[in-house]
Amino acid sequence: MERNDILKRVEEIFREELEIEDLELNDETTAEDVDGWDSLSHIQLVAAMEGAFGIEFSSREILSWNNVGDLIDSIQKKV
Amino acid sequence: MKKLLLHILIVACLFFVIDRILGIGLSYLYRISNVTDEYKISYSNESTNDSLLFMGSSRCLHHYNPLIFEKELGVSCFNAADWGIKNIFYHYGTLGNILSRYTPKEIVFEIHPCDFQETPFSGKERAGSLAPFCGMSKECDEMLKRSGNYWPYQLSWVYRYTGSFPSLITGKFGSMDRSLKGWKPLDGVLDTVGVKVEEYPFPADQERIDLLERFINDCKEKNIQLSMIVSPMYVCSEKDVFKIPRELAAKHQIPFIDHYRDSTFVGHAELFYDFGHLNRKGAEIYSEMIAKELKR
Amino acid sequence: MVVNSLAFLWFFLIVLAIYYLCQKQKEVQNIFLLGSSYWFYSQVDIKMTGLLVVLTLVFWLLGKGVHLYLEKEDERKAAIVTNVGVVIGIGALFYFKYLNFFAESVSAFANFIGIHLSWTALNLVVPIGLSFFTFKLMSYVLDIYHGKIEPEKNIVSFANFIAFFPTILSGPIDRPKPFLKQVNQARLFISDNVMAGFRRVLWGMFLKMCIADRLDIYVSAIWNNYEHHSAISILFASLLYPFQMYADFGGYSEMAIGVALILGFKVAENFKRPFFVIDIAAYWSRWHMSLTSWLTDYVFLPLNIKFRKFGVNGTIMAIMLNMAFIGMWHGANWTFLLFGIYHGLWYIPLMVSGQFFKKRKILVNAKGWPTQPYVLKMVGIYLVVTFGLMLFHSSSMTEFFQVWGSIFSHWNGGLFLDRNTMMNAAICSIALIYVDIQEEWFPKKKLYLPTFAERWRWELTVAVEIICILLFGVFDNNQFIYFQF
Repeated sequence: MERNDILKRVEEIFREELEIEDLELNDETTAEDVDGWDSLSHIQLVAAMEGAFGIEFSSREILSWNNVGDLIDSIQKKV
Repeated sequence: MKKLLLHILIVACLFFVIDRILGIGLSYLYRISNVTDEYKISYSNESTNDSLLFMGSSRCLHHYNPLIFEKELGVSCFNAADWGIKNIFYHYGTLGNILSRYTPKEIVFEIHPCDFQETPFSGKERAGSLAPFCGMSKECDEMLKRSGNYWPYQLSWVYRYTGSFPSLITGKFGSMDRSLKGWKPLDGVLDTVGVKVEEYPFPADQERIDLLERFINDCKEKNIQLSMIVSPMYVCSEKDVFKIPRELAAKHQIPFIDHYRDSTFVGHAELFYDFGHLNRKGAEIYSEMIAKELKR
Repeated sequence: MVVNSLAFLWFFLIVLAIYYLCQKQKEVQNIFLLGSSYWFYSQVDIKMTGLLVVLTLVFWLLGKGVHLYLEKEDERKAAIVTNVGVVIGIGALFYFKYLNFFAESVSAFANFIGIHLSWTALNLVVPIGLSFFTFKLMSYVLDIYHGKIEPEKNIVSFANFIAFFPTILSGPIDRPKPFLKQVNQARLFISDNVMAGFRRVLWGMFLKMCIADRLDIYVSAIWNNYEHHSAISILFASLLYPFQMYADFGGYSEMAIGVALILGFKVAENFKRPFFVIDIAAYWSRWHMSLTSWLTDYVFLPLNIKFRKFGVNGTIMAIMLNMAFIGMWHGANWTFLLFGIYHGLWYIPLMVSGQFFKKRKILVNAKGWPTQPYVLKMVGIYLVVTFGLMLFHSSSMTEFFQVWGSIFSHWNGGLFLDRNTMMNAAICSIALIYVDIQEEWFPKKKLYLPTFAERWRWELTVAVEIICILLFGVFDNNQFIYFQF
């Protein structure tokens, strides 16, 4: 799957879960940049992405992401 | 760095100014207060000019009616005692302050074990009540130094009144009746259920005994007629509680008026407020008795 | 050595002078800082200083080990070494804090079901600060494992992170990355830092000495004699206790943060006006923030990830375990465990309703004040916290039940009030509440000063604060309640 496609899909999921309609993400976006994305909502986002892509991350992977770019890399490895 | 030092200097100056102004205001409120503590301590140390003074523990505060003594002996009288188990560390400092202003003719000192024993519930810290009078007399400052608080009181006038701000502000609503010349009568009768003897199993404290001797000597030097006195209690200890002061009094040829086991009072619950303090009725009977004794 | 004592003042002034004299040589400054921290700790608990040094060394080596295996892509071995670190950390905590409690509970249970077991309580004194520095040690190893940081090359820097004297005894609990970054740069003397730090120390002293210590006189008098006090007195004292705790621990944190700032370090914040909240999650995100954040990152999050298949129920399980940990962290007693579980239960409605995962803001009216429904919710949270702290305050479950027994049987009785104590406390508490309200809802407003005095705002504030501490403070040197954690 193309990296950009993954990014767009992830963006959709974020918009839905965090209820921010015009949210835009790029590789450098971190939790600090997005209103409502904290360690708590993080898990909801993870579960939603796992469901959407049909994949499963390891705990270590999940905790290793520093920005959206890392996240996309992890997804890309699995699809 | 220089900038910081300048800031610190300005803080120090502002602190000094505010502290002194506030300190003066607080000392004024202290003097006009009618709350027992503030009134008794400030009037005794700064204002009394009476010929006959009663000094000592809370038993003194509640037992001696100066009006009776004034009538019987024809001299002005003030009860300079205070409550709160104040001991010789406080009394000696107060004496110093009083003598720096005038010389009373006679002092009657109500002695308590905390004046010559190492009582854990009453120690050097009692001299802390003299904080507002820091600098008034050598003896007062010496007692403050012993209580460990002399330099803070010199540095900050406000610190002398620490914790007292609310009671100073509401001082006018205190319960002391100034017309009673320092006496605080207790209204009520002793509930005898569960009343036990108060024992004093503490070792003698040489530091306090030395201060007692100095108290006696300072009075002698100024030709003040000093007597030591012990009021009655509802129920007394079997032991010779007041051996040390009695021997001290004999050594210095001071009258030692011992009413500790006085049968007129011991066991008479209607004359007591609690096991160690006479009530209004008891105090008046007792004052009459003592007044006659002093007359002789 | 207590922070608001004369002994500490002398120690700190001497350390400060030498510390900034070496500011041009970062290595010397750091070695001196470490020496001061170890000296400070030895004054408080000399026997445990050895343990502190040994654990520091062990974890520094563990960190190196984890990183080595990660570089070799041997995740399994890296995980093992990390787990060794966690086991040592928890083991130390367990041994000193919880062993007696655990063993006594086990033997009590065994005896209950008929098996004879006896346990002679070990005579163990909990090393002061243990719960704080073991958490720092564990977070170091865990952060390396998760790739958040590189192991610290300089052992002096790492040792400084663990032993930093302003925060070693009672926190705040710092994270490795922000602290190590600062310790690896020389701290130059900046008078703004010193001035800001000094103000925080003063504010902390005001909170601790004028409010917490003053309220403690009253609250302890009631709580330690609950058998003789009326229901209304006990309830009133209980209602004051959360506020007292806020002033006590919040005040201590301010002092620690202020001292650290004077030394040029920005450490973690611990309290942020915790009662201006409308739900329990927000409360914990503002009360003892460094602890909540540590547990969130190292306990709640991993658990939440593990249980993510169970959706909301998984998150509930994770929070219950997390809150049980928070409770137990405070001490080895059923009261603390139940305290934690009690708080955990209050998360459930929040999660089930979905509110937990959304931003919950307090609305203000046109004048800038929070509206009535929110104020009522804030009062509600305060009451929730009050009940929890009654568990926390009790020395045993028996005492907790007896206190409530007294409340239910002493209905006829007036409120016992020591007027002088309460008035002193009230004046100072009003000042605190005013400042908090202003900082929360009117941050741009400043207390009025005539224009000519404006340039001396800082100096006037400091002078007035010092006077207030002298006039309202309790000077009997009470120990902080959070020490033995």
